[in-house]
Amino acid sequence: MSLRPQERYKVELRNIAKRFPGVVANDHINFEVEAGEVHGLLGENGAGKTTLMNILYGLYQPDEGEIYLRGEKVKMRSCRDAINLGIGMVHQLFMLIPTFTVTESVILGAEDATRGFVNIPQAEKKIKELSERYGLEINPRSKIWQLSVGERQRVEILKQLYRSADIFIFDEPTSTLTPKEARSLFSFFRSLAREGHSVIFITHKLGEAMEVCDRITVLRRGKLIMTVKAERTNERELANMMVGKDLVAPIRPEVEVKEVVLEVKGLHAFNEDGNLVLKNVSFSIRKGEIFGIAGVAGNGQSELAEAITGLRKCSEGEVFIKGKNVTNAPPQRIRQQKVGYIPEERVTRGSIPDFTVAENIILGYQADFARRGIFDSTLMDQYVEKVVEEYDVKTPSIDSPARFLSGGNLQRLILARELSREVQLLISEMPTRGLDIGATEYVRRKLLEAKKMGAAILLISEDLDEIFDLSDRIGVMYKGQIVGVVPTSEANIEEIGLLMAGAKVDVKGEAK
Amino acid sequence: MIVIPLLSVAVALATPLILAALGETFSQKSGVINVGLEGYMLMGSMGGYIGAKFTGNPWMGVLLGIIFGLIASLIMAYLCITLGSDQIVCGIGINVFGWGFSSFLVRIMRLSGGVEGFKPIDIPILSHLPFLGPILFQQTILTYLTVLLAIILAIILFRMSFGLRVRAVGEEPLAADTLGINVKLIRYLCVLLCGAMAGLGGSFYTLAWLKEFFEGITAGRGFIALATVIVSGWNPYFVIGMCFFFAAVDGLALRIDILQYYGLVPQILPYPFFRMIPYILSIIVLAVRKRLAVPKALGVPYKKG
Amino acid sequence: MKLPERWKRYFGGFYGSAWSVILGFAIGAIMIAASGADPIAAYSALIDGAFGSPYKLSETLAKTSPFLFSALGFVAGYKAGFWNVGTEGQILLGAIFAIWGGVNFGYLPPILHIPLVCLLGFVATGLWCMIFGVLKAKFGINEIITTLMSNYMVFWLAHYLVHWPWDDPYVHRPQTVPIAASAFFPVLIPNTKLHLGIVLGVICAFLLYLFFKKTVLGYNIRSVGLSLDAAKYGGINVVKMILIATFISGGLSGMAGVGEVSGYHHFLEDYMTEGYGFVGIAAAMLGRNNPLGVILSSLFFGFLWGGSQYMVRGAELPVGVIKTFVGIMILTSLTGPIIEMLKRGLYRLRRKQTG
Repeated sequence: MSLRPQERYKVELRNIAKRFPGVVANDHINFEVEAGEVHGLLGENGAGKTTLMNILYGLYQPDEGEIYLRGEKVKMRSCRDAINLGIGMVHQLFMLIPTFTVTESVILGAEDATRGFVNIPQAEKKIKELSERYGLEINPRSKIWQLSVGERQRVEILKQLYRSADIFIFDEPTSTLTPKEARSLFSFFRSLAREGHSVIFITHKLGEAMEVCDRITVLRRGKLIMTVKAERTNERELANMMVGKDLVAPIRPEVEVKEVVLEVKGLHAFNEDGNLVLKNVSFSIRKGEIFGIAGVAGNGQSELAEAITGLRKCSEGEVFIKGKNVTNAPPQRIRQQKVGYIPEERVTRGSIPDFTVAENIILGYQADFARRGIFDSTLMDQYVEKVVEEYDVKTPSIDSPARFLSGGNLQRLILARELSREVQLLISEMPTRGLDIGATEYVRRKLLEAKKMGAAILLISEDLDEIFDLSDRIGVMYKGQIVGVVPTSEANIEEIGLLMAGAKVDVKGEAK
Repeated sequence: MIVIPLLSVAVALATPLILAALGETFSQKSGVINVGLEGYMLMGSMGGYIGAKFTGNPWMGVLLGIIFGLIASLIMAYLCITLGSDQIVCGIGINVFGWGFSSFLVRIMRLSGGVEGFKPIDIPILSHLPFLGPILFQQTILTYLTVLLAIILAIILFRMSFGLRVRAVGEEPLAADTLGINVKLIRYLCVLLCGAMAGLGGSFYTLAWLKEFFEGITAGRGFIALATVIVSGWNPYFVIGMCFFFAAVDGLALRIDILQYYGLVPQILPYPFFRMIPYILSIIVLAVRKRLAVPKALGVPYKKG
Repeated sequence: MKLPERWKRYFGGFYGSAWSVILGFAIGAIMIAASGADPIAAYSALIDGAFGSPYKLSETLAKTSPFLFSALGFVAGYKAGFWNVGTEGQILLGAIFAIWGGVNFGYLPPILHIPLVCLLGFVATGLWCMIFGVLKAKFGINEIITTLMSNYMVFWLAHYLVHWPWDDPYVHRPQTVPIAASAFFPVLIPNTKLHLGIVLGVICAFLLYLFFKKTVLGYNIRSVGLSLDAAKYGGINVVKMILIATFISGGLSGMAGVGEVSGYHHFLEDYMTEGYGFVGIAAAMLGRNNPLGVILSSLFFGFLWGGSQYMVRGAELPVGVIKTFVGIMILTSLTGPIIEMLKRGLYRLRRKQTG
């Protein structure tokens, strides 16, 4: 079958440019996808991948450039246009309504309503058919809030299948999946491709891109670097393209192990819905040790951090810091035990965007800068200036709102606040999530510095590479429990992956 | 024999409350909180009065009441949905404006005196039922209309795709947007619906209840309607029940001073304290209910990227 | 000219407010003209009524006092994330306690009686508002509904008190007995009704400003208002902060009522303070919830309210025009985003031209 040149590409983005205040998100990018292809869009966080796809999906309007679908020029004024043209997007943050059922979520916006009335039984039937055909098991009657993360993703996928999408965009779909679930997702990609559809896979993980994609396009800082065939490249080459320089893993200093700083015994905790989110959690961390907790997000890690830092009440169990019982103590008292906390939510918990940089730096320690309840501005400014310079927080002034800081700078601010004081226990949750390579390296370096100074560190992260690089011991959390603890030197990724998925693994690494 | 007249009055008084409250339910379900319900209702009462006075036909009053309600809600929709301004302050502004404008317009037009409103209509056969007859089937046309509207709205909310989208927009507008749903349009429709319903409800006071107009005729009923929506957890069926209950208390309060004066009811509580009951009750109910199904996006303007 | 960061933000707010006022007057003019009256006559009557003579000016300032206090009350709550729309009721409650304290302690000399009445009004109303603070902080109950409901509860209480136990038998209107002379606020300008209230109000505005800017407590309350999660993370006792903020909020609103009773009327009658609470909220919003900005915006509403009474006479407009006008002003204060849109439109136009 001979095709005219333009029709070779199912999707073609030409010369796309998009600017936001202060940053060029997409700088004249050309991007094409063929029919029956799994095409990876690879790049660091902030490279512009999501922006580009949001333009394709009609969520954003490009400042310059054109979009062609199957050889014809199209204008995407809104998502409706994109959907009508057969484009479906599964976003990084699921666009689901917790109180809706699966059926309601899938048909929303495409209800097939006869004179306005919704036909639920008919929709349910179609959903069942689709889920069987593609191996996406789901109960159409369940409510979204009852579903696991993997199941929710299936609902997102079904949304697109229900609308007979032809071009599928997946934005970082594996960040919340176990390795096994990621594998099944990839085989789903391949079956879509076999049927002639196009799949665009946005990711920052090299290995995954290499594993499933036919071609890979690399973006860096808004610019197109190159589009290559997966079989003609390797990980090192891709990494160079993504980052522009060779990646060097930080060296973990050997530190002799000392006294116990944090001890957690038999911790149980419930969440607001009355579900048990922490079940009999026990572990300890010694001085100068980094204890990494691996696990898919939502298995109790945030609740564990909250329980230790006093933001969540435990129904049972105890927490000791250097022998002192701090179970269910208020956050202020725990802070006084020289505990630092780098929360996962930088913008909603770790900082107050409408406060100035200075006000954010003293958060948690504000009383230290006041005499009889009134702030001493010289004292405050001196300290803040010093710390901002030391940690290289780029801001026009210490009095400008923290809202204007980039992700990396905000994290520097938080690090500056937590680490510039003497810290004996540091809880850090997803510290490098959403940061570019430079900021990531900086954060990891600071963590290792703290470790060298003798802090005990609890590192919660979804990034297995990060866990392996930095931790001395690795624990895995699954459904609120610690299901395995191994020293890093003896751990292997397969085993950890299985534990993360809930399989029972014995010492020799064979799944039961 | 106080009970039957009392319940009959309760059904009548519940009519405007239910209309306004159901409109507010749609508005809030789509994510827009409207504290200006009192203002809408005042505009509606004024519209009802003016329309009936000018044409002698109460239905023109109803139409005008709805139109004025729509005008008020259009202002709110523009300010809050298109401009993304604060919904609470807007509601307060509409209230103050409605208070003043309703009496302003009536004076400017030099209208005074009573209107030819709606008389109660006896439904054949049913109105002769022993207990329910006088209570339910000897009401004005507006009350019967309200029953119909309530049924229609419940069907729309739960069985039609529009209702599904309204609920989606109120919980996760971004999710709805990514599925091609026009969030702002849906909210506009719900706010306008609220205005029309509240305007209709307001016209009840001037066309079916008091048949004249004075400043502040709605006397806080708009706020009660607002309270019922939140207290009932945004469930239209509970809303109707709550409205009926509050209307009963209202009706009781109106009669209580007469009853007390004639010694028929002991002087337990002076009249003003009775009027307080709905408000205290709302707060107590709120305090007792543990989980409220608040539409997640309530009160938050939707801004696209 | 390089303006410091903070100045730029203030001016931006000022432009928005100036635009709202102008738009409000324009719409008002259209409405007045449409009703057959002469807008120029109306507005001249308005301005003359507000500033035309020293007496009229004193009336304008006297009207500013309750608006200022209730606006400050709203701001205090707002900073903690508490939307106190119960200011209407709180003003009345302050007035009620001022009556009770003013009538019953007449044997005290003014130097003691006045502070007593103030303290009574402030503390009682503060505690009342704190109830709703507790409901929100401990039980998560939405304060907009509860405080709205509270307005009517107090209204009916006042109605009862005015018509029954405290009714003045010598006056045919429903009105309470007057308070003792020793509770009268001193009058600032002889032969006017301009009382101490306005001075107290301005002082409170400055105190509130400094409180939020310079004290740890103010910092803590602001964090709670901006980010509950971050405040908890920062070790702040959220419940305590909300309680403190609602106490201050209610207290300040209550002072508005105290001022009206002790300073202006010296008695309480039905509907005496109707609308003051809502105007206060509008003034708070127009003043961008900054205690100092609020002084200006309250003054503006005082001017509107006081002056528009003369509009009724001067241009033969019905009484409803006052509230209509104020309502329009509140609504136009929300049109600020139009300016933003225009600015952005102009910016884009300019970019297209320069390519």
